[in-house]
Amino acid sequence: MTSGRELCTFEVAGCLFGLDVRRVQEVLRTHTMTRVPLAPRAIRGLINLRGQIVLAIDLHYCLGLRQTLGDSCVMSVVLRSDDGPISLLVDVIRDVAEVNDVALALPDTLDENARSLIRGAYPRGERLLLELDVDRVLDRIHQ
Amino acid sequence: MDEIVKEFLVESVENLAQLERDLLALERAPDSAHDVASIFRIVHSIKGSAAFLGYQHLGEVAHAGESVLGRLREGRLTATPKVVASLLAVCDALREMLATIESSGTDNARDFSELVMSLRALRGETTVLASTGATAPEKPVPSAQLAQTVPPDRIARSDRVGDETETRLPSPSRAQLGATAYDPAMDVTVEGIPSAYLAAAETMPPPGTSMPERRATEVRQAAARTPISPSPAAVETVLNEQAGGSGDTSIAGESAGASRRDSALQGLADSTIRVDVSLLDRLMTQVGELVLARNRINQCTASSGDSNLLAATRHLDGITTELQEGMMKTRMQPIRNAWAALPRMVHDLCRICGKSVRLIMEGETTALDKTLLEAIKDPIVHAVRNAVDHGIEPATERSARGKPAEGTLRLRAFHEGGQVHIEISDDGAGIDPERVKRKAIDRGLINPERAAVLSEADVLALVFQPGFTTAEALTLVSGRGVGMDVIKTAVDAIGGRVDLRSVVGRGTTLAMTIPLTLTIVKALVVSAGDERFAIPQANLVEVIRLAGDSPESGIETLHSVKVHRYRGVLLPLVDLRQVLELDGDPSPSADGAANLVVLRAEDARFGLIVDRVYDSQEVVVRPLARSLKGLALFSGATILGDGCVALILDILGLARHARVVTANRNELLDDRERIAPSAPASAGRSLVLCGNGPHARLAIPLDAVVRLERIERNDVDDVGGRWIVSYRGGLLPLIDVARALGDESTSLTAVDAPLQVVVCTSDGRCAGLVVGSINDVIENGPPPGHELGRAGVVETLVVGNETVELLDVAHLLSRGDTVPVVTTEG
Repeated sequence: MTSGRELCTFEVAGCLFGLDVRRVQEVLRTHTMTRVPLAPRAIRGLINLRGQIVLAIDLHYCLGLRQTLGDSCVMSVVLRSDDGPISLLVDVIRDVAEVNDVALALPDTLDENARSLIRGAYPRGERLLLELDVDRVLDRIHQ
Repeated sequence: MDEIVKEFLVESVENLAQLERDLLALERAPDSAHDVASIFRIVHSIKGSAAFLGYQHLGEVAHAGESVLGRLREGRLTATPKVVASLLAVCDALREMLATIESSGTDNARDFSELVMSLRALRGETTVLASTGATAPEKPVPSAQLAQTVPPDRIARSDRVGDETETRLPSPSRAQLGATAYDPAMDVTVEGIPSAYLAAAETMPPPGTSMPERRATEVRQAAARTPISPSPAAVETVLNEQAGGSGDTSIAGESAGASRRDSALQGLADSTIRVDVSLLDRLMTQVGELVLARNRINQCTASSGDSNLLAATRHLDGITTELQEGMMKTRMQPIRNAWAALPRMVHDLCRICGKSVRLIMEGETTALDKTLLEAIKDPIVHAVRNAVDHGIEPATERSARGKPAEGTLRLRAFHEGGQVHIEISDDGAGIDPERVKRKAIDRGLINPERAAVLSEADVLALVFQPGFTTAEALTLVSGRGVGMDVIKTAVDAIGGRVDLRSVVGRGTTLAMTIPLTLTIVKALVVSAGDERFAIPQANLVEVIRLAGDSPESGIETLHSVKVHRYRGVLLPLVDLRQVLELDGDPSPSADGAANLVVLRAEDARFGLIVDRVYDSQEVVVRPLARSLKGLALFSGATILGDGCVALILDILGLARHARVVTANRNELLDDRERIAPSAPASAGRSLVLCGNGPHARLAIPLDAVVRLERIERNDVDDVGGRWIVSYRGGLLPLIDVARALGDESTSLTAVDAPLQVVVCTSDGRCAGLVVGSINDVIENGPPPGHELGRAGVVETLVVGNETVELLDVAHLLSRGDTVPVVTTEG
């Protein structure tokens, strides 16, 4: 599929991912997070976003990647959703990248969990930028 | 939907509510012209609007009702219960049709022709009256005056249909009648008169001067009346209030009434305004945010020395508090709204059950949050239904008992202690604790031994168990054993309490206590692990600091459940860290200190072990995200003063999760009875270890133990050499174990400290064994030891390094010293 869109990109466990920038409300550094005991594994906790209580999602877990080490200074990509803002916890925030080339097919070796969330892959220099499907990510969270 | 239709629906619903009230009042006072006039006006207004909007069926039914009312108004018909019942049926029919209009846009409800026929039949009866010339005291305007209003030449046509006259009146022009404002009733032209209306006219009364005059009168009345909003009912209310309750609405006072109505309308229009509930909700949320921001600012500036900043902060603080209170008030509605349907319901119930009940409502203006109001509507209906069906006796029975034949059901609402109290009291038969106990035992909710030692309050609390009913048979109304449970669940869900008080033969009172609002609550902040949590004040009983995990500090283990002796009761403990599966050291800190928060959930109490207790704060409750809503332990989240998010614990959910609250309270006692019913010679029995003085060591089998108590000496009475204490609504004899065994008594004589009492039961007898000290409770007691042959002692055991005497509880209790406290049901 062709596109002339902009993706907000970030890194999780060394892999490069991107999201449709129009769905992203903001990116920020998450300082304090309150854990929610007994919550589903994907939910890391709650953060205070200018007075709003926002869910913080462990993207590592959702994508089947190895666990982040420690909680210190994790970055958040805050998405807009019908239930209010939701924050995805990532390692590093990268630039906004423009993609207008054709998406590559996904390799079969990719983890099943991750595969269902990824729309396509785009080469970026030596790396591969994997575009996440925002709606599917949100659905996964609400399960 | 059209704006006009919407308006019509809203107003008509209000009008019908008023109509119902008036009809019920009319039944009690059949001669009240005022009520008839009010009812007539309402039905007439609905009929007119229905005609204008093209709702034919609605108009038909309304007209049929109006005709009956016309008879009533003239005194040609008396408001007998039968007549009122028919009119109430009209009210119901109209309501049903309005609902159909709202959902489908048309009034094609079911066929109401039967109703219309029965109404006509009612009117038909009046022809007999009319011909005998009987008239009621209140006669409308003398015919001479009436004749002037409509010149005879305006009568277009007169047809004879059988014995009756049908006349069509052309619509008087507006100018002629002087109507300045729009009135839908005015727009009825000959062509526009619904055929049903005309058809119904065939049953108009005998020919004479009455018919056209009356029609003209109606039209004149309509003219004098001003347009759609505010509703006539509202105007009437205002008028009544102004006139001191007996508003003069007869035709004679028409012109004066018109001007009064006008000024009343003006006042009414200015004082209220309709607002969308969703807008109020949004405002409420914003105010909630403001409160949070205010809290943060307070915290930030607390340490500042800048006096200007502090002054400004204080100012902001005050404004925010006032705004918050004002906002809460906008969502407050008088409880009258929840009680609105009750008079009619009681009226109908009385007819079904064949009883006579007077409903008194006090404190109608007591206000509470709209959401809470919605939540208690159902519980109140259940309570009222129960009271009428079960509580209040039939008239004959009441008279036989010397009570007035008419029962009284009193609803009372008032504010107190920051909460709303609602009491539903009846002067009926009351609740018989013995019957309750029997039923509870029958249904397996409780076993006879425990029933024996329940206090009266506990017995009444049994009534709230699901499935409980003492009704011998299902009646149409209740008896399924659902009502009380529903009440309790609903009230618990909004953070309230329910209590039942009763005196046999005199009556019963159901008392509900509910918080004023949901969104902003006072909470105690505690920590467990590294996280902080908020506990709603409503669930908080007490905070206790314990010295450590040892018998003196009060944390003991009973059947692998941690307990604490709290005011004479074994309080089950829950370790918050454990329940939430938090990391960190599971046991209390090294110095042995632990913080215990005593909480209340439903009627049960338990203690929550936490790491630290912080202060109390007012917190804004934020709903949890959708994906978290399934967590029963949390009821919401909030942002604390320092900006951190804290979860709010759902105490009931927590209690259920930790299994300290179950269908049967005091599950510990249940377990005991199940595990070792009477095991004299089996190893591993549970024992309560006591001491008597420095040397004697005693053991009491746990199965015989009901409670461990600490009793003040002052409470103990010496009755003829026996020690008795008032205990849980009954008398408990105390046995000095040492003396009973023939040893020197150490406990009852000397010191001033409270008595250590092990309340035991055996063979239906109950007594308190007084010992020097209660030391421990062990699970796996040693195997049987030696029999000593000492009266009162079964055998000696070796526990640890000590020799312990196992007491023969049955023997001790069966001695003459004890008095049977409760007899078991045979």
